[in-house]
Amino acid sequence: MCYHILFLFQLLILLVPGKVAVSQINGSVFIKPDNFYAQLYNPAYFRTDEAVAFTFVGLSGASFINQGNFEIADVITLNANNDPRVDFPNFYEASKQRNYIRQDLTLPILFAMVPFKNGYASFFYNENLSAYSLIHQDAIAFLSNGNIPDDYRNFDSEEIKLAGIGYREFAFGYGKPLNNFLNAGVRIKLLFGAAQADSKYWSYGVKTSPDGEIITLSSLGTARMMLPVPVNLRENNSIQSLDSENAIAKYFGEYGNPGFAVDLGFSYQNNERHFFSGALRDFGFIRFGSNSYDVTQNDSFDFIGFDLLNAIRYPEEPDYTNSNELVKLIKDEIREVYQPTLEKRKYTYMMPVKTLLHYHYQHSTRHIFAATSQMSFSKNYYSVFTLSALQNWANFQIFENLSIHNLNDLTIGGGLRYVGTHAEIFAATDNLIAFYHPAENKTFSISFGVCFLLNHKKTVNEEKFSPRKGKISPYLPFYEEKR
Amino acid sequence: MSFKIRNIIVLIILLVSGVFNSCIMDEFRMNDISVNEDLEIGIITPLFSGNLEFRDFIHDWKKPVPDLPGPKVVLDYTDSTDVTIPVEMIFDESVVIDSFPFLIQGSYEFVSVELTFRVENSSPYPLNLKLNFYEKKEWGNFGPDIQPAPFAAADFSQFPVQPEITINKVELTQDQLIWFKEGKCVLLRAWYHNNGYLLGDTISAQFPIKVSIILIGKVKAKQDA
Repeated sequence: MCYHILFLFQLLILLVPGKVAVSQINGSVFIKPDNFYAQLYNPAYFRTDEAVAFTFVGLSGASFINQGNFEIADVITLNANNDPRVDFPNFYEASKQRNYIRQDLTLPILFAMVPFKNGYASFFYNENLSAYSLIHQDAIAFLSNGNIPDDYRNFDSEEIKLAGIGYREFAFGYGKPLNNFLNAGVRIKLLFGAAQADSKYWSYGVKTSPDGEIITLSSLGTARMMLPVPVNLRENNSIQSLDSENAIAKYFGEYGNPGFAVDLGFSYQNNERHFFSGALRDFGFIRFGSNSYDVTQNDSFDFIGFDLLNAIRYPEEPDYTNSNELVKLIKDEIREVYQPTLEKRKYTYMMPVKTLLHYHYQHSTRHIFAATSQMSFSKNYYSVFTLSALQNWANFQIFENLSIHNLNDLTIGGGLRYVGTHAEIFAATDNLIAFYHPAENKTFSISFGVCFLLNHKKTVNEEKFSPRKGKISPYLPFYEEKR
Repeated sequence: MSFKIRNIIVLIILLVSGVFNSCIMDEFRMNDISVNEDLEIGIITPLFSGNLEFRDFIHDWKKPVPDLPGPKVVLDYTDSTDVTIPVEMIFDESVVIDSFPFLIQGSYEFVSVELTFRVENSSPYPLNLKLNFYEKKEWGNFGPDIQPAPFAAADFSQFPVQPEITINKVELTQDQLIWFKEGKCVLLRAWYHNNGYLLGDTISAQFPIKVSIILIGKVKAKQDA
């Protein structure tokens, strides 16, 4: 009953759209607890055949999701020569009041799972990268129209949201059967933030006086930011430059922002038909203290043009400024509006907690039907609800799925998986059409990878024991039915 | 099942390879992406402004006053020593700004520009202005004149004297636009039109003249930026 309530709860709250970048994979992969990507996301998923599973970067694949309420093709169009161009008018035509897009990439660098004391111990090292952007329709309109039309003389971008985080996780987990029906797992994760930014009420304004003689440029907003490269500041604490030499090496060598998180999971199967599983992931935080800043912008400047008085008057007169100096001063004042100031600050980033609930019904040895809900909670939340069907042949599975992303998008996806004697290989997407033309799809995701198996025996092909080659006894073996 | 698994795998591989071969993936090469060349954004912005005075448009005061023949007039300063100048200087074209840095270029370029000159003239003579854009290192090689119609004089027939506001617009020709875009310096010349107003022995050097030049134009992204 508890599962039904939880499931209902998730179904209800997925109706409200969220906005936080998250890490989620195709819901269909949770049908198979021995899939190594499913094992990454639910610590109670493990193998039951005593095999050792491992993989590493290059073969471990990746999981990528793009989700937004507009298509990339709305922003980037092709010109007559088929060259891609950022097309603001086209974007404006297709835009909503709030336009957001998020991308999330998870890259397993190392994964291993070994049998240990009636259960399975696991370790993985993942690199994660998430980004989120939000822009309001008015800002797009301004980029298309400029400030000549009356409607855009006084312009406010409203909140422009930019958020992102790059972090790595080293996870140590253990899962085991608690009884014949219930498996449970826990995973302790050491996190290390490598980059982070999150803006708040970030906005820009351009106000034009009716006669056009004064333009007031303004900026407003705060943010928190951690960069993996050193920042050189001006006297007023604005960014002068970034020391971007060896930036990639610095990113991967950044271990100054430690964190901690816990994953919990379970799976429950009281007969061959029904299977439930759930997980609570990333219950933890990252403490940013290396190269981390509070960022503030709150400035405005009235531009009235370059002052002729300074250019004309004799240098010995009061208020005279050399014209070269004057131009530099005015340009600096304009730049200052758009140069946020930084202040060193340590801060704690709470990881968006993710939940996973999965149920599947085994209709036959060949057919399984499933429903999966994945959610991410932070200030808001993001949900994916997936209905799946899986067709099973001894070592090979094909699955199809229908995914609802918040209420913004409905996608049809699928995938395949093959488990051989020495390796498992799989690929899954929640949007098959996106393979043909990703830019014309608001949502698409793909997860794929290869995992090596040691001490594993390939499942015997069931067709070798096809009922057609023998007769089925009408009597139940070994026992008598008692009244 | 009559259809063997290996046949299904072969079919799937063929299907997947077929799909991948027809994918439209080339839109995602970031280096090829630039702003649409047809996009033109309308911009209105002040370019120059100044609360100036009558004397500012007579002479480049960094240079000595020339000794011209003819009648003289005393420029009357409120807070400083008066200056005697030839009357002809008032009506002769003179350079008032010889090289004002004009560095507005960026990753965009102007495709059309209209300059709106707004002059509030409190002097007794109509004012003429002439702008030229030029390359900094090529003094003398100025772009075409950008010269609005004269700006009307204040009405001295009534008291108190009423300043006259005149707004004149100049839409730049293609030739002028090229110099506007490429020039790095501005030359401003000015002179007063002799409308017959009778000069006495002195004339105030400090009749207020408020000037603003507003740019109304369209920009588009530079494709080679």
